[in-house]
Amino acid sequence: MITVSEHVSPLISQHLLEPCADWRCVQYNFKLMGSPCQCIVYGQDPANLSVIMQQVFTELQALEQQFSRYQQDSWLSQVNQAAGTGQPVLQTPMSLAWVSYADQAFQQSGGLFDATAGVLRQAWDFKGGRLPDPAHIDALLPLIGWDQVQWNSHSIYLPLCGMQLDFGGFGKEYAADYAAARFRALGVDHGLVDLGGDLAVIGLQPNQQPWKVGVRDPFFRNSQSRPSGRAVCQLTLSQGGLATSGMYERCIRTDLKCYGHILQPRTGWPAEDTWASVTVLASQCIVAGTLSTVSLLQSAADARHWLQETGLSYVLVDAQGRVETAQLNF
Amino acid sequence: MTSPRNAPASIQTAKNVSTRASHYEVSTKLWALTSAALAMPGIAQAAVPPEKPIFGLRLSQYSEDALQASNTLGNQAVDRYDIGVMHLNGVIPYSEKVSFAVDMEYETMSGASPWYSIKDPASNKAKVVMTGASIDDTRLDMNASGSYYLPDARLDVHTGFSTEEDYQSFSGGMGTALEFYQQQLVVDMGMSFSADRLQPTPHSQLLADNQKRTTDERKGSYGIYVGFTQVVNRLMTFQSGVNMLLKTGYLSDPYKLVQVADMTGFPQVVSENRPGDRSSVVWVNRVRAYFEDYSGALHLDYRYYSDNWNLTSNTFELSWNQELKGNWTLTPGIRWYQQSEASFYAPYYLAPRADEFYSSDYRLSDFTAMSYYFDVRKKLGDVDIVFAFEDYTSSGDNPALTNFMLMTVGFDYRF
Amino acid sequence: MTQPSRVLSCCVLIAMISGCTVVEVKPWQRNILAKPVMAGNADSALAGIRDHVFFSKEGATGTASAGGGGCGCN
Repeated sequence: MITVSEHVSPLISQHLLEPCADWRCVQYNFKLMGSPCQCIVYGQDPANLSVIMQQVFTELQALEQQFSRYQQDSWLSQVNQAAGTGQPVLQTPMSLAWVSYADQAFQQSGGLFDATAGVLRQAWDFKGGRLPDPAHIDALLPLIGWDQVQWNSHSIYLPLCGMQLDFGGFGKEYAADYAAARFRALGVDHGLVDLGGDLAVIGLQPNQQPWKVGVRDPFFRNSQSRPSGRAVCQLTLSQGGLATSGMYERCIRTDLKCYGHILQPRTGWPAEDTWASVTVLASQCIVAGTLSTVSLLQSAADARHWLQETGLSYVLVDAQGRVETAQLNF
Repeated sequence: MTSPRNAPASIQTAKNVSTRASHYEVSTKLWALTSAALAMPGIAQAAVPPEKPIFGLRLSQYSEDALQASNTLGNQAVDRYDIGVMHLNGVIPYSEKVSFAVDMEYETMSGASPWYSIKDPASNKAKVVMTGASIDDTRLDMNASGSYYLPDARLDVHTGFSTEEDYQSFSGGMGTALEFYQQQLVVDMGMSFSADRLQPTPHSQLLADNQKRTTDERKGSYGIYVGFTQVVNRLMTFQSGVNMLLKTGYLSDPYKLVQVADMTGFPQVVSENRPGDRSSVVWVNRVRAYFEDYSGALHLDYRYYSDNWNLTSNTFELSWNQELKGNWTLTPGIRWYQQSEASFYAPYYLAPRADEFYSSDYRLSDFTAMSYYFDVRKKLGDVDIVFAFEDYTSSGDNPALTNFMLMTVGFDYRF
Repeated sequence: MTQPSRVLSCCVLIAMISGCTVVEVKPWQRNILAKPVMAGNADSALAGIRDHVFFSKEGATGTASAGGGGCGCN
């Protein structure tokens, strides 16, 4: 399962951003973990909001630093560099929580969500638009398998040289939850965090209304995929998080079909007969993201059943553009 | 719900609140992922919504088996009590910190009950004399409780009122539950009291002319408890607790008599008389263990009771809670009960007692009881339907020991 | 309490306690513990009714929790 580095944002209705009475809105656009992000917060003192915004952004950058595979001195890179060398790497309290989450995601998805599947990146070239060499993929498969990772609360070790840990599957979603919680802790009651399409609600709008969010039509394309895309479905979000996984955001098209970027760890290829996009709403964006990603690794019917078991709200769009939703009232 | 691609997008409200109260069936994967997510640093839990309100109704009915002819003085089988119970309860969450519960029980009782027992000169056995008249009585019992949730503790307070034709009781109490190790260990303790008043109905109190009639008596009880619940592993919990109770006041049954032979050996029938205080200790232990291969949970309960009337008892209960496909739960179980007799109990007395305490009530006698039961529960959306059946038999020397079959139907509705 | 019952009770208790090597259970491992079949009483209303019935037919009274009110049935 490859990191999606260019999530397409859901559409957030413009009219929400008009000021409500004496509330001022501060909106900050930035790039984090390779994706376009925005934070929208409402408060009564815009200068203070800007300061808070800067602080949260700094903390998010620090998070990225620790768990980014691009930074040579991050904890994650240390683990990857130590793969196969016989030297375990010490866990930090933060890393243990991440590793525990990755472990739970692996268990609960029946092995479909695998934080060691990032090595497939070496075979799949989505930018170039060419299909991978099956022999290359077969060579990478032995390096994939979360159950091979040796870890406990003290340390972690990747036993084979070439194995790589990659938290991209939930890193951004976690960052969204983290940012929303930090905003709340710093006194912001109204706002929304959007990290490349992974949303976490800080609080309702100042007029006590929920946020209106559109689920992007996975098929609508313009030359630059600008944010003025089309929505297949609109939702209101009052708390928690939302995440979308889509096959068609980045894919390799052949005459016969489209190969999406969410790859099965056991085969190295995307799932057959699955949804075009899955949007899940949950109390935490990280949970929503895990569920939406794993849904794309199963057949359409299996994914629907699997999501229904959770009792959460979801939006499914199939390859023909038909939309299925579940709104479950609690 | 599907919509064609070109239909206008409609605004839908999605509620993504997925945390559920502990007594719900929770999707395993959602639970696991959410808990793991919450363990990650900096993620404050979203405001926990209050639990959903629940309303429940139970209807129970049981008839005590007729007393066998051989046990009665008149050598005729005698019908005993028929009892019907309607029980309503509601859980009303008020906010994330406060929740209330109310319940009401309405009970109807009719039939004859044991009045006294005598030594039958012909057979030298004890035999029961039943009250001739059939009693028709109703009881209404109402309780309310409130709970306040703190980060690692819960405070409870409760009060209740019970009334029937000859008996009123007012009760109350408070308690607290303290959580340790992320709720892996919960210690709870509390105290309760009850103030009761008994005004026997004259027509039911049948006495000889020279016997004192009880008109207005009071009784008080005071109790304290302490216990703990320990999560042993992901499949098992263990609970243990001790309850100490003191009852003072009028503890006799004003409708019951005893046969006492006086100094000359001539049998007299007098009112029973129990001591004015009864202090007891109860020790309860419970194990709940889940067996994944069988999708079921084993429940094992043991209760030890002892009081200063010299009555001790042991109760064992064992049940298997089987989860079946389609949201069915089937629970067969057995309960074994044993008690020893109170120090002043006798089915009849061949000589007066120095302390003047007498009672032939079978509930103070030496006996064992066994019951077999099964419960069936089915979840249909927001409604749980329940049916339960229990067959109870007791055996011992007292001729008035009772058997009965209890049947219950009911439902719980979650809003 | 008779001698055999005393021995039996002790055996049961020892069996109960010996099964109890307490292991840390992380919050995400508590899904089975949250099942209704693992509660103290799967049906607390029914348990209340049963307890009241036994209370009126037997000599022992009480459980290790908050006491309720009295009634004329014992």
